[in-house]
Amino acid sequence: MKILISTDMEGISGVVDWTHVDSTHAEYNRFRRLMTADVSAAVRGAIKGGADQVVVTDAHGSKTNILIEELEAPARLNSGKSGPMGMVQGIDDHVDAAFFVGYHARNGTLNGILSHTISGKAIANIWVNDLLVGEFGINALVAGAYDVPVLLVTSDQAGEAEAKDLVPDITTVVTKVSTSRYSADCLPPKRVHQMIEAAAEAAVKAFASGKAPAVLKTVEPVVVKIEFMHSAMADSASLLPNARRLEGRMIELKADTMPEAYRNIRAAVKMAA
Amino acid sequence: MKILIADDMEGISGVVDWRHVGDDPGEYARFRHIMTGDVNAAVRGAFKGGADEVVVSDGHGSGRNVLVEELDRRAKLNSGSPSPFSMVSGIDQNVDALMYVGYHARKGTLHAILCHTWTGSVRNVFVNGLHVGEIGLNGLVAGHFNVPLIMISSDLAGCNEALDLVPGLETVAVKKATGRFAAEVLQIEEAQARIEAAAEKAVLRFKNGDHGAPLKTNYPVKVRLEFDSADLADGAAQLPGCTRVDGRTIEFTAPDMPSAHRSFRAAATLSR
Repeated sequence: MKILISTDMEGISGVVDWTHVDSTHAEYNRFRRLMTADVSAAVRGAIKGGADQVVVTDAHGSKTNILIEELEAPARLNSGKSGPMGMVQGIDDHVDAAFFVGYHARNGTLNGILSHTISGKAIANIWVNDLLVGEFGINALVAGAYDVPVLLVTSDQAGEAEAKDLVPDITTVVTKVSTSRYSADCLPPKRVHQMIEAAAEAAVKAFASGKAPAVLKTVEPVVVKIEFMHSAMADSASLLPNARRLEGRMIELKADTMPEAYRNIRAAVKMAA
Repeated sequence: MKILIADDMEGISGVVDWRHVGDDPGEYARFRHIMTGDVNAAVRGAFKGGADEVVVSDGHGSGRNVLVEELDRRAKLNSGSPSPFSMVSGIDQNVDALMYVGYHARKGTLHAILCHTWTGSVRNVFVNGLHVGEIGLNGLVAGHFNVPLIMISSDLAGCNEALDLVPGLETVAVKKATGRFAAEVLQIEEAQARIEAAAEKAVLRFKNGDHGAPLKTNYPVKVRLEFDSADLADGAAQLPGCTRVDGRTIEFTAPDMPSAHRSFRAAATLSR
């Protein structure tokens, strides 16, 4: 059994501020170590639960955050930016199930640590076939296109609620309870690591016995609507050949498949940035 | 008669270095003044030749270079970015003829000041197999609206690139490059006098039907875009509907030249 662990940074133990997840800031070095530890706990749990292959995909920023020298063996690491599958790089390579570690709520969520959708500067909202989604939803839909269920998410309570809205039976670990976009009541990392390891083990065992949460799917072709923070961003993104301008801040993109829709979303974000 | 003057900065009188076109604030301030002077010379010439309306499209960087306070009062200015047709903004508004002021040769040209194609990362562009730089790309967009290119000011290499596409074109070589960053340049007043004379002559010739045909290509348009390195093509390959040809190259098809131009600009942005 092969498990893919997509890992972001905002939902990692102790993270409450952009300085914690920004590689140009001194605080970042502390939190990339904690990120590696949260992920390693998930790797241990997956192996204990019966996985024989674990691949970790570093999904934050330039995707070179995980300290490979501290990553739990036997996990392999997908590292580096511009992979064709983005935050779920490797999802198309015979994966049985996925974990999302260190995820965060979509932009605009009440009491969600560092809530944003792909780009905190550029994106107000994204809808996939009229479903308002954040990164959890987008990435789970891409996994779903390959019939891969998401078994586990670790996040704050807002990220947990967002995941459960889409995948009610998903296993969750709440690493912190956010009280604003930049404040949270954080559990001690060592406690979080125990919780993640136990949850990962249980989730994989349940999956092995046929009790997996549903695979998240959407209708294809896919219609994506993107609302940007301001109209100049939509001016730029409108250069994409399949873009249709809906209004000042909004464009629509049509894609044949969900993985293609995801590539289109990333292209639009880059155009706007 | 309505003339669109599309300007760029690298082919402006006296420019030989990136510092002149934006990298150094003090030098840039000097050359945007000279740029406005080159543009004004073309505006004067166009009106002398018989134009009724002249629109200037500021095409360098973000399109905010020309000093509107120094621009000939008879001209209108398309300024800012992004705009629907970018360097030839306004080309769809009943324009009769196009002039280039301050244009430059495509990337890789021998002895051409600041030669490049749109961004520093683009190595080569082929439109239906035709190797083009900005002169060709923007000229083909104008051609879509049946607007012929009737004049260019550039360095000698840029003038020759334009003449390959439009034989007989009125050209003003304001400098002769001896390297990418070195040239023998005309004195500014002399250069601007030649621009004014060429613009006047180009409009007079246009009135008499003595001009090249609008640049055209077959539709749909197949664009092949080669970058300097593979990571740039990794980014550009996010362009919806494109094909990855090899490490440094993508290809895409567009229904017409304005669409191809938009996709090209998107790919250039995605490459960064």
